[in-house]
Amino acid sequence: MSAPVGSIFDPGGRPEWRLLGLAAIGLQDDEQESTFTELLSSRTLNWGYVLEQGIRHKMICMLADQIALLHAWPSVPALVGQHLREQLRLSCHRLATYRAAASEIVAELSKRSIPAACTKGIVLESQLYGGRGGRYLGDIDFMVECKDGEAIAAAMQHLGFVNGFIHRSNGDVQTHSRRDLIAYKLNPDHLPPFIKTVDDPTVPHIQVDFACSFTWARSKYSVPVPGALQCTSPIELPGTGGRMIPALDVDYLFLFTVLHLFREAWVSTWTVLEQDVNLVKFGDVIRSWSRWRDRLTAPSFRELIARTEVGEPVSWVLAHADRTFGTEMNAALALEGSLSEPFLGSAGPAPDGKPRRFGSMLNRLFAAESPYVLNP
Amino acid sequence: MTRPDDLLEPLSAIVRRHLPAGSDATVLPPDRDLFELGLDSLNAVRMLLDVEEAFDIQFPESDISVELFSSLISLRTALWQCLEGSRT
Repeated sequence: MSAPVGSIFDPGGRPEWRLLGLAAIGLQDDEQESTFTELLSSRTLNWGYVLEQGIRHKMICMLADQIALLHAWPSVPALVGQHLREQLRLSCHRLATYRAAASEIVAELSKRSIPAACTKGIVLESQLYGGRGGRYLGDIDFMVECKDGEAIAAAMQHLGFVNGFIHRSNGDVQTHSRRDLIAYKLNPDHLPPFIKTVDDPTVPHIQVDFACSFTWARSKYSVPVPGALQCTSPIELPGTGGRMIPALDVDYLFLFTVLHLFREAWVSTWTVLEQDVNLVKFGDVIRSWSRWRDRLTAPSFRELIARTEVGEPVSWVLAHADRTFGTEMNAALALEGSLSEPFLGSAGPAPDGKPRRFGSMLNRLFAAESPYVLNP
Repeated sequence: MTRPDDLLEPLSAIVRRHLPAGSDATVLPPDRDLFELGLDSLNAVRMLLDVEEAFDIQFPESDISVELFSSLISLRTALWQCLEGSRT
């Protein structure tokens, strides 16, 4: 029998990283619960560093949720605990707002016969994280077909949304520049995102993102979206009185989760924008694997990977997860050893065309100053 | 510019500036897909804005699509239509 997930990873011997890493992938057994609790009480644990890196990895709410589950607040400095609990409460409130909005959007798209499926946080927060606010949500994500862009824009406008985004530095609502809109037209992997201002001082905006691709425009890795949208199942949104949203079936949902991680880790645009791959993304993959392992090790999933010819990026992600967190996903999918070491240690070229390399994913995730480790 | 083909040379010069170094397109085949020649998404946007600036026009948003970049010829056609529209 293999060791529990997470039992072998040792991110540089720093207790802060082990704490965050365990919270990301979820505690698998009593031993890991004990380890997590001991780490919380460790005299060498630097809480300032935990908070700084927790913010970078969008892990603050997940850490708070894990501490709450273990009733371990007495091990946390009082003011830090107060901050973590406030963040978790805010996350729960944001989730409630986003769930209601997601339900409203789904109803409107359905009324207009526009095929769509929810993806990422709005699905995974309830399916993998217990719906308690631990999984941070920045926006509501949908998968749609690019050809429906105008119909979707009309539906969103009807619901009070406009094209726009939150400026990353100052937090203001911004409209897209002409340059941005041209970029979306020429790279039809996403529609320009939508935003709606609501009368709520703590969650003043609802952001919605529509992906039209599992990867990115003109990527050599591509999964047909129309076929995926025919494979959806309704899932219940917690706390909404039984409202349902369509989610991609497990095979496609896992594929999207993995390929989304690949996109963020591989394409230079994201790392340049300080959106390098983070612990939450690996948490999504590993928790999905733990939850749906039987389904994902069935021949049908391997056939889907083969049919859509995405074995390379899937294996790239799973190999890094295996090495970093002690999973054995690549072997279970018969993808082990299918990639060369240079490919595994590489990312897509920088904007100036220079090839980019990084050491191990362990270093990349747990480096204090990532994503700058990727800069040439 | 009295004929659409008169646009090919100045357009070609702009396009070449945005193709990656080492691209084999020193002579730009007018029917080759520009993305296949190595144009990437960021440079495609910069190239389009450079064309607009050079010819003092603005492509209608509805004309901007991936197909516009399917070749130098398609870009020339869109540009000619835009220039014709601005003359009337």
